[in-house]
Amino acid sequence: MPMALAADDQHPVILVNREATTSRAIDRTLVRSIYAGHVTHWANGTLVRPIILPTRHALYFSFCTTILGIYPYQLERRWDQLRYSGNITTDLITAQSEDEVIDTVKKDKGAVGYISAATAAHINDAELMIIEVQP
Amino acid sequence: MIRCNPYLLAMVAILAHTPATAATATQSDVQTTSPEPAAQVHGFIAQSVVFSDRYNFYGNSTHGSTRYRVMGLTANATLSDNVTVSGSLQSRLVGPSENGDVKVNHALLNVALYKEAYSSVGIQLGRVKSPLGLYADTWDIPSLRPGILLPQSLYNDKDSADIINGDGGLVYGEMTDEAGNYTRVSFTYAKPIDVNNINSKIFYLGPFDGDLKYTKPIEGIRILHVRNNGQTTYALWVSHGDMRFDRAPTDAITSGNIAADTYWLSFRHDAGKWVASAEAALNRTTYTHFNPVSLAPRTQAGWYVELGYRPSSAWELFTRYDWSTANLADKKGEHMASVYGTKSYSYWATDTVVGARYHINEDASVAAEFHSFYGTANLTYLGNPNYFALPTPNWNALIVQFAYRF
Repeated sequence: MPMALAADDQHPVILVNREATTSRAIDRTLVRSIYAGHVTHWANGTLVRPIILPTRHALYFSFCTTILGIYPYQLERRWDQLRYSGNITTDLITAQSEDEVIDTVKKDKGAVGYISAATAAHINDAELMIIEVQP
Repeated sequence: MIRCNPYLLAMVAILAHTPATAATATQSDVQTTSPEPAAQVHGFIAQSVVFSDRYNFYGNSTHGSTRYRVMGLTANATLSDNVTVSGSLQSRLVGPSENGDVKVNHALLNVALYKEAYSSVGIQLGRVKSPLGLYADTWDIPSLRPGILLPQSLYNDKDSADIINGDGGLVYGEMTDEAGNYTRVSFTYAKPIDVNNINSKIFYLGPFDGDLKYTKPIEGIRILHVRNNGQTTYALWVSHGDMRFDRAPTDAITSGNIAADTYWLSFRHDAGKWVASAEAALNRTTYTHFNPVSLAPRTQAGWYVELGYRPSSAWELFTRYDWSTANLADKKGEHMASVYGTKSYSYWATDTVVGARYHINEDASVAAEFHSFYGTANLTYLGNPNYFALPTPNWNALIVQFAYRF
């Protein structure tokens, strides 16, 4: 466990595959650039594959507003612009649950997602890195 | 009618190998070493009803017109860490100008030639979109427009598609600095697919029967700079294109060459609930070999300012003022009117707009907007055969739209 996470804390934290982060620290600027579609590859050349939860999920809104600093419709508009222009290198993956986020990040070394601090408190996996991003 | 061409066949091949929900369905299959090919398919339909009080705008709108419907299907597939393919089919029913044929909007191969976490260089090949201004590369997507119609001074529905979609390539470089500011520079070299239509011929020459075509690809440079976590966007587009007009026996004009130079500046500040935008463009057109009549060069110009407000996630409101002229040297069209016996206000237009969109849910929305026009340059010759002799510059339009995306 990289930090002390409370089991009842619902704020979002970032989850990445440790292999993707060997050559670069992850901060809020990088997370924002990834979810803006501006940063598409990790430093080792692996394609970044950002994960989102469904829009109805409680964490979706708090991730957009507290971590990304934008409203959900701004995030959706940015990705629609990339998709419909053809200027898309990677695309958002929609995971249906926090468990699916964890599963995807474990299997895909380029994936990055978010889960609640409460869920992260129960993770003990050497392949995964949990990052607290200050809002 | 579907036009069979290589791009369409390629698109069909892509779609045929693309499960509709591949992105989510393949999540449990992704590999630790490298991602499996993943694809996503998105689509939309937007049907509008157009009412106007004096002149026909998007069909027979003085009696209410439904001839403004756009449908599209887009597929994007990631083939490897370096290669993606993207394509879209689109059907546009736009007044008398477009009849709803399914066309390949874009179909391209995107290869990352150099990549690093904060910068990359890549190339797109195929049918690409020239990224003019804030909206050109997505100008036909309803959910990405601030209103139902984009500012007609710059993104005129009657002829914009002619230069935006082209066959060729695009080279780009992009970089994100430590503060998160993003810069993308691209060079487009693409031959526009369809300039030989009456609206484009009127724009450059007049209502002639001859053929208008590009003799070589457009060369365009775009610089895009995005600051403050996407809040502020600046863009510049500069391009040059060469065309040839070959007269028909019925035309009262000779054949000749046309060169078009475009300069386009864009600004947008998106503060979440409030969005302010402004753009301005100049299109300099010069004519050679139109003997014995010499055509004077002219500079078509347009600009707009727009303010949008989103009081809640369900509602969007906006207002806009839009201005354009067919020739900066004759802004009010008085010289053209005196030479050709036409109405001066057929060469310029202002458009004051107020509009609202209500999002029924995250995929469906309804919108309405009211346009108060002064000047008739935004109308089409096809919709109004007496285009150059319309009796008054004042006219209004109300447009209502239902849009759905998936």
